[in-house]
Amino acid sequence: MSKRILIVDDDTHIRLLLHRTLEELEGMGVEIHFAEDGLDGLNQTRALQPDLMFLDVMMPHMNGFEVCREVRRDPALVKTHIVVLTARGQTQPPLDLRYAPHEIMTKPFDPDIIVARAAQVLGVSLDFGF
Amino acid sequence: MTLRAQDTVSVDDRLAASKAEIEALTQETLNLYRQVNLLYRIGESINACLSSAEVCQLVLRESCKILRASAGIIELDDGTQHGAAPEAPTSELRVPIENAHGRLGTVTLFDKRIGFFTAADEKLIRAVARQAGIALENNRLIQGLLQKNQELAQVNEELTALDRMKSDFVSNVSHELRTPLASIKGFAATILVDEEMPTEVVREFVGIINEESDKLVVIINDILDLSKMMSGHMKYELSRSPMEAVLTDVVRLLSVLAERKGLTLTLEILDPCWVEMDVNRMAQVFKNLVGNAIKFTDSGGVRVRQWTEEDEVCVAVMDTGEGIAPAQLPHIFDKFYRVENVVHTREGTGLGLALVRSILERHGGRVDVESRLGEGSTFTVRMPRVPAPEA
Repeated sequence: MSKRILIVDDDTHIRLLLHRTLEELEGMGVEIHFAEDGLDGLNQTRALQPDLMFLDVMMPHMNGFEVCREVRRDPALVKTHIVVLTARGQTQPPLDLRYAPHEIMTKPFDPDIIVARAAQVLGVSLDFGF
Repeated sequence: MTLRAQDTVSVDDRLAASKAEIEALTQETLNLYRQVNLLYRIGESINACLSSAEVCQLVLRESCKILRASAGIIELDDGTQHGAAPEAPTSELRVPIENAHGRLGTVTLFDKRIGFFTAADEKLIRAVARQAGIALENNRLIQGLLQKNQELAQVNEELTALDRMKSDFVSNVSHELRTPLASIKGFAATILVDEEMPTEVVREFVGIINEESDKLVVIINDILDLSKMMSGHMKYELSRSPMEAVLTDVVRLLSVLAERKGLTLTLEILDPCWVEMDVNRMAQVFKNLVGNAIKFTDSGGVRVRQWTEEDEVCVAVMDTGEGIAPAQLPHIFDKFYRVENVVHTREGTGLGLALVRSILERHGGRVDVESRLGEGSTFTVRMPRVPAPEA
């Protein structure tokens, strides 16, 4: 079964950027899916059971941390690795560790780090051209 | 030895005199004891008094009791009065109430019996009045401290709230700046890494970088505007201009945004009129109000309506959006304030409405809001109208 990545962000350009960044993984049989807000993200996570999700925080209907909590509470989704991409500054909401994301990265992010982490989490090896 | 009669008499007399002396001494001792007891008791209880009324009532009660006077009155120089003077008293004893800062008033005791009060009584009441003077002064200081304390607690509360708003603001601004920056940096890095990227893809990405840079410029301008307004450095270029032109421009500009969300955006000019205004700043006011209305409305539409009431121009911006909770309404024009549940779901720095209010106040105008949760909001702007210039 092929590996799946779900990208959840309400900003079109960020979705496009993450897609572009992770594009080379598609050549290795990784599927990339998109959701445009928190609720859509949660529904797609339940339907797709992705191996990895990149989750924005400030989104309509449900924020990223709320989506994260629902995903982490769902026993069917234990294998989904959650990376929250936050643009917020100093004040993080206090995290309940049981439902916290696996990783938090801050925007602006480095595309190289995103793709390297994705490959690592999915267990695929990247061709670095050497 | 023989005793003579006259000697015997003399002994009896001296014995009687001694007895009288002992009695007088006993009486005096008792009096002194009474006085010491009174002063001690007053001193103790006076310190426990919480108000000047309590101090005065205590002094009157104890003084009357100890001197067996029938009534007493304390008149303070601040106009307050405690106790009451009886009708037609024949004896009266008045002493001042003083402390280190001066006279505070008088205490007067009354009785019906003639020549009732003695010099010793006066001495005693003077001592009591001195204590009362100190107690009243202490009380004044304590009341002052309590009030200061209350004021400080309130100031503290306000500062804490402002501080919380400021850190929320920093956090929001950080989000608003970082989101476009993430696109700019990401696409720039992507272009740099891929040496063989086709020109049309490069152009598309540079287009995105350009668009996101524009967003950054808007946010930074808002922040700068607000900081200029707060320091009073904002410049206004006032001219007599038609309201209709400003509204038409704003509606035309924002109709793209409304269309993108599938909303209607309409403008009704019921009574064209002129206002003395800075046209760019006034456009900023309505861009903010109409932009907000579109942002917080997911179905239905936004209506802008302009009319006049006596010498005022009125413009209402009405939406069918999510509305604002009654508890939030009084705060929405505060700097940095963002409606709580919105913080995590909608973009914004919390500066827009603060700018709106500030600009309108400089034009002698104001803005009011009415809203119901789930039904929508109406923002109404009112400004003084001026006659049209002569053609």
